[in-house]
Amino acid sequence: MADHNHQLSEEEITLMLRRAGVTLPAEQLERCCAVVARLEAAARRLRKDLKRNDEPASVFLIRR
Amino acid sequence: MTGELCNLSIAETGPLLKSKQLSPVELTKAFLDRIEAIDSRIHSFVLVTREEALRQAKAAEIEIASGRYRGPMHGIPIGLKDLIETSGIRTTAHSKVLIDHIPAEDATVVSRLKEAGSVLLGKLGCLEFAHGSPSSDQAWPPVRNPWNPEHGFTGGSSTGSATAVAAGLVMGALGTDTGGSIRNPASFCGIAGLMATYGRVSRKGVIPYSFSLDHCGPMAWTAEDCAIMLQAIAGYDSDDPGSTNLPVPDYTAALNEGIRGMRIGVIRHFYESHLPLEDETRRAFETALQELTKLGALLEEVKLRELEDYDDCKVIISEAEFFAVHEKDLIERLQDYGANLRFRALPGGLIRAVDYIQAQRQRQKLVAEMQTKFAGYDAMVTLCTYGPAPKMSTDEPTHFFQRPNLTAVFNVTGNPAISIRTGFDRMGLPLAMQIVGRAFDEATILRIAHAYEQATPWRRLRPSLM
Repeated sequence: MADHNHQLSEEEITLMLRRAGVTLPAEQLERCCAVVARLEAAARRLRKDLKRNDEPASVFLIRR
Repeated sequence: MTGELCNLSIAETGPLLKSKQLSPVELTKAFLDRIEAIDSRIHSFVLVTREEALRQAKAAEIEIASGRYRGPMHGIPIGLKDLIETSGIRTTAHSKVLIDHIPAEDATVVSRLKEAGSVLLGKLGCLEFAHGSPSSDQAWPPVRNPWNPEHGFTGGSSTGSATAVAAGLVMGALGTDTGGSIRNPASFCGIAGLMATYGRVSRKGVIPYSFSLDHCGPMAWTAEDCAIMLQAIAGYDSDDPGSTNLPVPDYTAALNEGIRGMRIGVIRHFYESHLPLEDETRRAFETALQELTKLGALLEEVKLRELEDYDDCKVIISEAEFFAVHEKDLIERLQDYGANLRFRALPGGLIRAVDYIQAQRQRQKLVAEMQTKFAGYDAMVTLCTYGPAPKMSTDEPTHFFQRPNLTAVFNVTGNPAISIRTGFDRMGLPLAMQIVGRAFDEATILRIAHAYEQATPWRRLRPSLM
């Protein structure tokens, strides 16, 4: 079960960035972490009032 | 005379060109001279295509002289945000990453403007890939606000487009808008900037920021000029998967019919819940509302979701999509991106798939709710920015994420929105409001904007750069 209240640590962000293919020097990592915290907060909040059958806006649309 | 020509609107210029009282070559030369005289102070152009512009102007002159007038964009000098691809002409997205990128094809909007006979003066600066912020490590100096080049910020990201129009260096320009990038600089530079409904204007050949939020649209001195430009570029494009196949109305046909009896919803809670506005920003907006009432519109307070609901949705979608677009280059040549963009872009790679999907599910709800709200209104109005242009800063990579902006709401829902000037602050910097319409009803917001501009003196004032 995902813990949406857990805030990623600098070490975790470093690891995730490495998985994404990027390595940053320390001072750049700090600034990157500030943005990550903002995105995490947004991701936590936007889950409210979603129901099981709510479709995404990006659902595939086939054209003739 | 040069200055006078450059202060004409597109709507005023068309009849002069059509009747041969003015030559497209004379007009183009006047703009090229003005660019040479002024642009070193505001840096709106990254490339001036002088020879090509004169060639296009000459071709327009010959056609018009032989009775083949194509319409109100024929012979009109324009500029393009350097995110919009031009065949054989360098298109950099204001980034070292694309410093040598010369596209093989024109973007659809460029092809359509060429078909309409417009004259391309050059490519206009922007924020890097429409998502960076001014920084000293880029290939060109930051674009400066023509109302006060020393104070400086122009907003973002269609910075060169807004400044070039405001300074009278082009008659119109195209910008792009993913979270406010047409309306925000239009607001700070005191021009009109229109984001049409998602799907109305082709994105084919526009370097993407976020596929599902990106829009391309006109920026000009007046709403009427935006209508004329939109007419030239709107319409279905099978090469854009997001394009909608709907008929394009005549955007200028009803411009002068007034707004008596129109129902307009006023959204105040977006900005009231965030921070106290300066009195002059609030006063300019309230005075604009009084003007709309005087013109016969019926105004009523309307409440939507909190601003954060739209903003959370927007940032998760846009940052994930931006990283997807740039993944290869961010990993292989990170140092070629400006420092400010690096810090904005990299966290997008850490957004989980499930977060992106939840954002898209939330977005679907927000779109449906907005459509329901619009059932009772012809349009809605709110502020475009929290105040006048702030001071230029080149070291604010994370500032972008600190406060929800007032424009991204309508990128999320896809509704059309236009920014128009509502006055000036005590430093002489422009203030603006945003008029929002039902999906695919650009004609109504253009009509409201035009009625307001006709009834107020703001369009008569230009920045004094000479």
